[in-house]
Amino acid sequence: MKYLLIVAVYIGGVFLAPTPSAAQSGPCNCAPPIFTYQYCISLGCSRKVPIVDCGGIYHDSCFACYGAATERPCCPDAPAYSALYGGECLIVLAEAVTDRPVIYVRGFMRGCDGKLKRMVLGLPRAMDRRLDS
Amino acid sequence: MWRVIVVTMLTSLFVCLSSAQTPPGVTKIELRPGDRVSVANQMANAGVDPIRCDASGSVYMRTPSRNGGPLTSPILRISSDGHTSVPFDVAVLDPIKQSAAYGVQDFFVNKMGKIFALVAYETKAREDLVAIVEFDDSPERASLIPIDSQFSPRQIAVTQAGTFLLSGLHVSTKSSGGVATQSRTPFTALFDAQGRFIKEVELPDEVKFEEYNSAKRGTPSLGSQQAIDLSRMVVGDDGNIYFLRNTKEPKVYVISTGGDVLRTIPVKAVETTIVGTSDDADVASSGPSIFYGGGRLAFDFYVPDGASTKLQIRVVNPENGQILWDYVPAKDMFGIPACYDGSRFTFLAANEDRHLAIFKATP
Repeated sequence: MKYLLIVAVYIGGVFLAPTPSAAQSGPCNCAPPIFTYQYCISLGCSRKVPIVDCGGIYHDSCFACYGAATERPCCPDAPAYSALYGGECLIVLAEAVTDRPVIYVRGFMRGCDGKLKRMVLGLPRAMDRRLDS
Repeated sequence: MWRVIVVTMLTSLFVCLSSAQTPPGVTKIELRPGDRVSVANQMANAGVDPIRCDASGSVYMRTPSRNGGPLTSPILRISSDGHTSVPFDVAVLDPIKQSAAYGVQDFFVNKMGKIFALVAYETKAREDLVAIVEFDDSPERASLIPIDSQFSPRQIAVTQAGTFLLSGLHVSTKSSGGVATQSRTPFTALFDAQGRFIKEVELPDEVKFEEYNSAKRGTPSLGSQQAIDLSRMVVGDDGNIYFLRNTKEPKVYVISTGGDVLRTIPVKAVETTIVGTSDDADVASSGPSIFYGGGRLAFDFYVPDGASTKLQIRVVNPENGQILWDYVPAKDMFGIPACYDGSRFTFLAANEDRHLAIFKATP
């Protein structure tokens, strides 16, 4: 648990697997994709958030997008992710295994109460991925 | 007579309750009419640091982009009146645009509003390169300054002499017999205006990494990595660079334009529960940010407050680290600190209509 809580958000139109089943059979180029659950801690919420962990290595194409239609992770009183983020998908994931290439960035996002919240984001670190593999 | 006594007692009780909410010596930052500026056409969804300002009061920030991660997002220059937001995109340059991958790891803005973006990019030939993209006031006019050292960059400051202080990591991976070992070493160095290495800056009591061995999984050094990634540089009016190293006990290295470490200032929080970054995820903290204005340093801290956190700001004398003032935002004054000019704080916040807002509040 100690190493599971660095929370990352990733927003983008490139990850368009809308359901778990689509993500499982769809864009991942590593097999098998593993669905894991992490807590979205930095927003002060305690709901589990499903993410896709492709064997512990986060290939971009393996991220699944939840929230737009099926799930409302993390912010129970938010209208919906799609509305909250202007129609884009929000991916909330976590660094499940600590030797994965991640860069930590201080960031902020609007929380359930409409206020901007500080948080630490763990972003896939493309530049060092080759060195780390 | 008894009425006077009752009124006095009630008054005393009110004063006691009020002071219990704000610790002694801590001043509230109140939001006054006219302090709030709405930013046209910008939603307040999310963003990543840094947030910087120039002398005219413009605010510079990044929001996540549609087509890439937050580190590829253009840098927005938001005018002080909130009327205009101009994106500065490093991909305006062909070497970046045509790269296999890139990320703006940090950016610096000088007083005149000139933007310097620190970019790590990978060519299609899989060569890792570091460069600075310097914008010449216009998003379309940019120049690439290649850095002649290979490392994984994180922070940038531009000195008044036009040289660059860059910091990051040397990462070395070796593989033998199916076991990978990786070592990471902090790297801070001064480069000239053309990106040529001048000298390495030795930081006393610098962050240390354990060597990673793939045969011994589960022995990470999250704290060290966060300390490197979440550090921040600002430049003072005195020309010195103030390099916040965001370790568990944060400190500021005061570095001269020539790259000499002049002194180290410890950073102490208003409340000492959580100060810096931590590898204990149960107390996950982003550590403070650093701001410089009017010959003073300011730090923001987020301390636990029930299920959430509360913001506290401490202002110190950069000469000796002496605490000058402590601030907390008033209850109706919520936002995240963006800048400090020595007397006034700039905050980013969200309006009720979810648009971005800028608060400029004076304690």
